[in-house]
Amino acid sequence: MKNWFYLASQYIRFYKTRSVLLLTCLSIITCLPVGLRTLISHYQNELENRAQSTPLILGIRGHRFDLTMSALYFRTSLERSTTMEELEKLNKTGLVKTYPMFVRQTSNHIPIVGTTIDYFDFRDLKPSSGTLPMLLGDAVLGARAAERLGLDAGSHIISDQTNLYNLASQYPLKMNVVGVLQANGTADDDAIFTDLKTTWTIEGLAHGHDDLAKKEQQQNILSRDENNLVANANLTPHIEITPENIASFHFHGNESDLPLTSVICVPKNLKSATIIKARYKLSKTAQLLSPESVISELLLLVFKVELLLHSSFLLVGAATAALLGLIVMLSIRLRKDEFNMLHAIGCSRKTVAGIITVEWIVIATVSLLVSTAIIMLVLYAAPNIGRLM
Amino acid sequence: MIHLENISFTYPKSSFSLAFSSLKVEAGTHVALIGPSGSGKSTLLNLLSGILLPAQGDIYIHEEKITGKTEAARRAFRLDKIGMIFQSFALLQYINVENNIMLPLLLDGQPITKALKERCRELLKSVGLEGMESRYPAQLSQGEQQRVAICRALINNPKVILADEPTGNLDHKNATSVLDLMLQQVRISGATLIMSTHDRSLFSKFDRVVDINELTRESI
Repeated sequence: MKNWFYLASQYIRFYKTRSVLLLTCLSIITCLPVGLRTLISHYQNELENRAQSTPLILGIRGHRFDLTMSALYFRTSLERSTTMEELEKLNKTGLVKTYPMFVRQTSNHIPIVGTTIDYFDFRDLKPSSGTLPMLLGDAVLGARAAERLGLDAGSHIISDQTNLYNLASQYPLKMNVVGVLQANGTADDDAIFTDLKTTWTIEGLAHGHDDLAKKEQQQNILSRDENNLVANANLTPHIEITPENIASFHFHGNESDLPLTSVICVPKNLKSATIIKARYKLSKTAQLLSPESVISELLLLVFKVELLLHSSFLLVGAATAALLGLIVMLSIRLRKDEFNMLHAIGCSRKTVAGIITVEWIVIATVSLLVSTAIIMLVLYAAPNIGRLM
Repeated sequence: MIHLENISFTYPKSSFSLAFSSLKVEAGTHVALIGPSGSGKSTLLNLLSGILLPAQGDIYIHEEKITGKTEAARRAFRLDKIGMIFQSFALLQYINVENNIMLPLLLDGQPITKALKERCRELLKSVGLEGMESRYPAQLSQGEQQRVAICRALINNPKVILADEPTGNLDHKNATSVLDLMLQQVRISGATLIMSTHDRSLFSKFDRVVDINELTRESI
């Protein structure tokens, strides 16, 4: 047996190119379906864990997937929003603890999440450096976002311009990075967190500018009535919130109309959860979702696609197995003279079969090891792959 | 002594047949087996090595009846007691000269000892290939490859050496040189040599020449 192994290893070593090619093909064949399955399981677990840690979500009535993805993964595509009035109504019930969110803007394509300070406790997010956002214009970065931007506490970020061609639209806002959060392996790592008011300011619902009551600004007033002053373009809005100008930032309109893309709700107990769900079942403007059931529904769709993938893998696997069989047969035929010689000098057919089997076992084992290494690498890189996707 | 009696052999689905009443070869003699292509020289060598079995008749090699043995026993006998040399050298390209020479021992599962390595070096030295242990067959000339094949046939001190046109692929100069070396080595080992050949110029180097056509004619 030792000599079989020796002869087999000599054959593999001598025909390096052939062996490496075979090994690569086998590794790909093995690691592709297994790797894909592992990656899908990883994302499935990640989705389920995130959903399970978020009992209920309130948002505008509409598509449940968009609302869930906005609340859990900070997707900024949710166009319609609920209001602070809805949040006030919810809080008045006393049945749930609420964590309002406004997620619509980005900075360097990283979502900016406007929320309250309680959100950090709810997700158990702690700063690894600096502090949590305290003031208007403060931002704290998720661990991976900080790594990607190469920023730390004390630096600045600017919100992305939403429309380059609309001169009347809101200017990007320069924010102070006051801290970086510890990594927790969730979507929180890939976000920028600010106070709700900061995101509303970026949205253009609040702004700051020089005081029009000042004498030197009077010339910029175009018209005035009981409630409003209209100024000309010489009155420039502040694009950065500083200790000197923070007092000049103000909202126009009713505060209860301010938008929220979602509100995470944590019921006090099962009874509270049942009551609040029942109340929102009939609401025409808002919906209250259980992210766990929405994600399960989403995963069911993914599994249907995965089933198709599995079927195709099975077919490809069968074809590959047939091809491998053909390769083995052709290889044996090519080495017929060698085997005849071995038989002629007294080698048994069992020994010949043993040497061939050992050759294939060695190649298959190395392929399996390579596949395992690739799968481990994929699992290690899974969060980054997920971010790229 | 090698003794074949009342031999009759036919390949399945073929008109070829080989039949003769008797062939005796004294131990230690060197026999040239001659005859035209297709006359049955290789078949006779295969019968002697036990690769083929005659339909009738018995084969004895040094008192051991080959025809009475099972295939596994014949194979073990061949590995242990017979050295084979082929026209095409039949060296494994993926192992070096030393391992090619020790191939029968490797296949037999024997451990490669220092003494065996020393014997391998001695054999290589005797055929003029000293220091070429670690070379691969592709790095050798045809004449050198056949000399390695001779060393392989001699490594386990066989009682009989069967050579199937070992000089057939070599030019005349190389053929004479290889044959001289082979005969010299076989003489030293004291083994019986039966070698098939077409080359009439080599006949004089053998103790005896057996024409396969005459052998079969005598039996008719």
